[in-house]
Amino acid sequence: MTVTAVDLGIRKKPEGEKILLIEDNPDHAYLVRKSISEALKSQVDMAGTGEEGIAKLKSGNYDLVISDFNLPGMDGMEILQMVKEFNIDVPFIMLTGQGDEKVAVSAMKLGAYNYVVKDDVCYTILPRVISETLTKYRADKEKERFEREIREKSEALEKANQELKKLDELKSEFISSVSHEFRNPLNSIRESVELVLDGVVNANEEKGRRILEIAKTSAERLTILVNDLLDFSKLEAGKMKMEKEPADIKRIVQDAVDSMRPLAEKKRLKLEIVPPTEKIVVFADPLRIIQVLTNLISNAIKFTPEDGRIDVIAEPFDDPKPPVQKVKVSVKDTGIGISLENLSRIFERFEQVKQPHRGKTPELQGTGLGLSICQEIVKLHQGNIWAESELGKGSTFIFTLPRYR
Amino acid sequence: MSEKKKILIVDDEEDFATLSAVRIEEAGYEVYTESDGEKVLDRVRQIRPDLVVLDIMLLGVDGLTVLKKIKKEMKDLPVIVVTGKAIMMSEVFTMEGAAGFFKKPADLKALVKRIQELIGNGH
Repeated sequence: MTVTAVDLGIRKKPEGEKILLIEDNPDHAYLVRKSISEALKSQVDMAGTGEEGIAKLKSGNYDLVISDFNLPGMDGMEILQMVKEFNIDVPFIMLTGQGDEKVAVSAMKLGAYNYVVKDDVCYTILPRVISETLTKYRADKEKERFEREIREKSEALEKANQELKKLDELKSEFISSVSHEFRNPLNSIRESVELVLDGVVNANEEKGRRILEIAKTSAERLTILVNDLLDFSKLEAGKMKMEKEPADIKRIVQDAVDSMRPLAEKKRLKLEIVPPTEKIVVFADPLRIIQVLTNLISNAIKFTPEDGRIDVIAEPFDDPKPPVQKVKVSVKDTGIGISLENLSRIFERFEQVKQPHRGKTPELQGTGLGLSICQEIVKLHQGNIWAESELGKGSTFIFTLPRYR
Repeated sequence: MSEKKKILIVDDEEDFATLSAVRIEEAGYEVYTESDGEKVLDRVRQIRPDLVVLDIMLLGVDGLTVLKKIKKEMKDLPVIVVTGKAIMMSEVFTMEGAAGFFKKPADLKALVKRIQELIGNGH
């Protein structure tokens, strides 16, 4: 892409620019100022030495510098060097003596924009040189700015592209996991029905009933899977509304535990509530918190061997950062525990820790979305959820909710 | 009447084990099931099956190891491998001596057909 000065509308006569002239010879200085003021509407500042010039450049905004090469103390090249060293962004015109072409060449190499040889006609051409220099400088700046913008934009595009790619991969993974989760129960249903249709088993007999039970639990599993997926996609899209109200945490825990008790009793597990010593009111959607709790309790039932114990504990909790009074609810089991490696992954979608005898209680098979859903619901309540565990000893799933005041 | 041919199904997924057991029984075989990978070799020694249907995703024990152990002790015992793991390569199991390879969810009628091809009918 080429950007020309015309495109940018900057090929205009310099107007009101601030120019710094570094010149020790008052006669020359007078002539330079005169030629500029006759042709341009620029404002010219003076400096008699390089030191003074640098000091002025550092403090003021100049649009252009014209410096004589032959100066007492610092010469023009040294001034130019300082300008570059201090990163003073200003176009530089060097005035050189006759026969000093070497100086002119070095100055251009060092980054001067232009040079003028001091001769009889130099004062007449100076205004034109200034105009050209300013135009070129502005075009360069504009080009730099465009290039930087393009670079930044393409970097942003590249980044967005990478993120999209990652998202796409996640989506493919998600779909492949989901289809896998659907296929097994669907196949079980098909095989079960086929056994009945083929007359291999009779629905009125014990064996036939067992086969139909498999079809039924597989269908139930599919229902859970579909519900979980719907919940999950709603949460992902931020479309799940929490209907928050002041609610007694004891009541929520009681409701969740009551609904899970039959399952716990099937495995002869002790399921106990440890209520808070004071009344704790939370600001939450009671149904969603019950959903979180039943999910955690059902996990605990799944992973705790028979005759084990599950405690659901609610207690006050002062969150130090930010300082908020909360309630902490823990579901503590005496189950098989989770390894440290798995502990970091369990809240990710479709992560399932393999359990022994996973087929024994098919109605309890998870979808691998449960804990992700729990996490999202707790987050929507400005709470936290985490797990602590020791292999072989048991796991504790803990979440916090802000108290209602 | 000769004795029925015996088949041992090794699978820790109860639904699949039950459904395949019923399907295979229907074809006239005597079916035994085992869900514990550690006990497979003992059960094989005890039952002396004519064929083993082995789920390679067995918990705790690497199914491939179980397959190797069975083939080492009973070279001629046909073992059909069933796996839920999509990336498992059938070639690996064929190399280790598997007589058949099915991916879950497996078509049980096809499984029975393969059993019949390998050891004939149940009776």
